This record gives sequence, structure tokens and C-alpha cells, in this order.
Amino acid sequence: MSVLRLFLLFLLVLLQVTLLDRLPLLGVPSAPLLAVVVVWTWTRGPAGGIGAAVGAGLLLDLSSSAPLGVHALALLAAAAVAAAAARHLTPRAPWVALTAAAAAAAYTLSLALSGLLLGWARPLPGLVLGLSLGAAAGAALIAPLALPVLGRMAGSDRLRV
Amino acid sequence: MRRSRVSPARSFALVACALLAMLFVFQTPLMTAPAASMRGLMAPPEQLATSLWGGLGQGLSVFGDISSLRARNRSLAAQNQALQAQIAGLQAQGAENHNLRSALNFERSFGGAMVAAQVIAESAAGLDSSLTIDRGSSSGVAPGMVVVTGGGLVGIVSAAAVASAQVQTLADPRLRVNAYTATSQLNGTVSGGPGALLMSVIPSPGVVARAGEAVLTSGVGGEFPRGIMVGRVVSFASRPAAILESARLAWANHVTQISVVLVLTSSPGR
Repeated sequence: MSVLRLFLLFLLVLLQVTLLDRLPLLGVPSAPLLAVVVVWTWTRGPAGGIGAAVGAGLLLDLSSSAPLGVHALALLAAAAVAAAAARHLTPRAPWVALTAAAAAAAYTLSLALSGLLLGWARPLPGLVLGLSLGAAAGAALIAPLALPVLGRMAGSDRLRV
Repeated sequence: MRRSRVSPARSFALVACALLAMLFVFQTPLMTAPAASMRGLMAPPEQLATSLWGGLGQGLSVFGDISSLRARNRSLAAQNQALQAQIAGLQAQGAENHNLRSALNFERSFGGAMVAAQVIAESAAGLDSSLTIDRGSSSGVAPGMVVVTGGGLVGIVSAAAVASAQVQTLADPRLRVNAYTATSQLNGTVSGGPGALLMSVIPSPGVVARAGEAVLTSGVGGEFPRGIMVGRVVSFASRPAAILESARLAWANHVTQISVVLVLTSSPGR
């Protein structure tokens, strides 16, 4: 991953933890980052997705009180879902939105599981369900919007919205 | 397109294994200090970004009064919170017949040292509800210290780097606070949560907590000093012959609305 792309991810993480998480309407945890990781994986392949997930995840880990690695693992799970979907589906907005929703669910469940196993959070079922639905809706809305932008950056001519 | 020799599934599995290994290594006590230092690296850019958003918000206010109205609203909300906390203190004074700390005049009545800090980031997980503040060990902030606002209790410092610290807030279900109701004098334990707080109350025959009644820290256990506003009773469930009764509380603060906090670096009782 180039320094510029890493810097863009860093800016996105900063935007997420310092601004977006504090806005009541856009405060769906990590939805913009999730959407970017999903689209990144779709446009740049599994290797690019792994890089984005680990990079953004570790930066998120450093900005929270959770153990180092849990956000990276959760975003990796989301990228794995996106990579699997990208192998079988065409990169059109509805599929990308659906994939982003599924990836968001995988992300939240992965975080909840690590919270339960490592004791850094108490993932009550209602809370996990609410967060999953919120993240899925947020990521599904944002991912199709990010697709043309990141697709252009990737230089992929096979992407159509 | 260049083909990778390792299959995608294998790549994901390998990276996941590496992350799991890192996760377990950083769980060891030996890695606590390095982890806190690494987290401290994020503080300067977070601080810069927070200032930038603040400046940007002010700049945009040229096109309208939204920013000033928001600031006014925040100021009024803070005044309202402080007044409610003052009423809670007065209620407790009447019941206990000694000087209870008012959250509004917290610094004066508290008598301990404290450090003011700005919230520079919020946890993105949504599960741990933590905040990052711009003061750390260089300002005397250490893990276990109590964090408050003018309105009441926020939480405790969970980790401290040189110039920043993580605060575990009351919205985190793992946090437990021993507290009492100001008027009815019922004791219990408040547990956090993303919505309303829950207080497990030790029953006292014939005594019920009323809606709107203030709940303050009891000082039992020594983790939190006595008399800090926690929240207000929303509802109280009393069942005959129950071992514990329960009350739902409205927290005196809200994670997304906290911008400045006070860290109690020493307290008279400690």
C-alpha cells in the first residue's frame, strides 16, 4: 500500500474518531470506514483489502481503549466477506450495498465476540443487534457512494454503478 | 493482472493468525506500558483534528447563526445540568445534615486537586464507550482516577500515556459505581449501559425512590469519592420480598456531548 493511500486511511480514521462518532445522526460506529474497506477490497482485490483492513483497524485500536488488534481483526472479517462477494458478484451498487451490510454484521459480531472472550466489553444481545443494524444500514448507504470514487482511484474500468 | 501465489483465503487466515498472536501478546501485563505509549502517538493528530473541526465549525457560522445557537444551547444545557446537580446536593444536605459536595461547585467543595482536559476522540467500537482526553501522565493523570464534568460523574481513567489518556465511561456496562439516592437514602450499585443506567438497590422496608430523585456516589469501596452526581431516577421497581430492587437512571452526562472533563488527580479522602 502506498504512503498516500495509507495517509488517506489515516485521515479517514481521524475523521471517524474525532468528528463522525460524535455526530448523533452519523454516529454509526465505523460505518464510513467499513464501507471504504469493503469497496477497497472490491476494487483492489484481497491483498488491497487486507492492507486497508489491518491499517485502518490498527489505527482504530490506537484510538480506543480496546485491546490492540480487535478492530483490525474485525475489519479483516469485513474484508473477507467483501473479497468472497467480489469473486461471485458484479460490482454494481445494489450488490456492493448488500455486501457492505453483510460485512458490517461480520465486523460487529467479530468485535462482540472478542469483547466477550477477552472481557474488554460486555456485548449485550440488544446492543450488538442495534450496532449491527446501524452499521449495516450506514455501510450499505455509504458503500455505493464510495464505489465510483475508489474505483476511479484504482483505475478499474470494469466498475459500474 | 499479477497472480498471487498464496490463495486469498489463505492470506486472510495468515493475517488473522498474526493479528490474534499480536492481540494475545498485548494482553500480557508486560505490554501495558508500551501499548499506552503507542496510543499516546495518536493524541497529537486527534488534538489537531478536534481543533480543526472546531475552527471549521466557527468559520461556517459566518453563513448562519447555527454555531452560536449551538454554543448557546450547550451553555444553557450545561447550566441546566449544573443547577440540577446543585439541587441534588441540597437534597442530600438536608438528608445527611452535613456538607455534601455540589457538582456545580465541585472544585470548591471537593477539596482535591484536579486537571481539566479536552475530549479529543471517542471510541469507534460502540461497545466500550471510551473517550480519549488530551491530558496524560505528564499532567499527573493515572489509571484509576475519577473523571467528572460540572454535571456529574463521567467514569474512570483506564489507561494513561504521556500526553493523553483513555476514559472508561459510565456508558460502559463493565463499570460499577456504588451509589445512593439523595432523598430516600437507598444504597445500591449502578451499572453502566448504552441507554439508561441500572441501579441494583438494597431494599429498605417501606422506602421507595421517586422519579427525578438524584443519585450520588456513596464512596463505598473507595474507588469513587462520596457525593458525585451520577444521574436521576427515571423509574423504580419494588417487589415484595425481593433480595434486590432496581431503578433505572438517566445519566447526568452523555458520551457524545462531553467536550471538557475534570480528572480528580487527588481527593481529600484518599
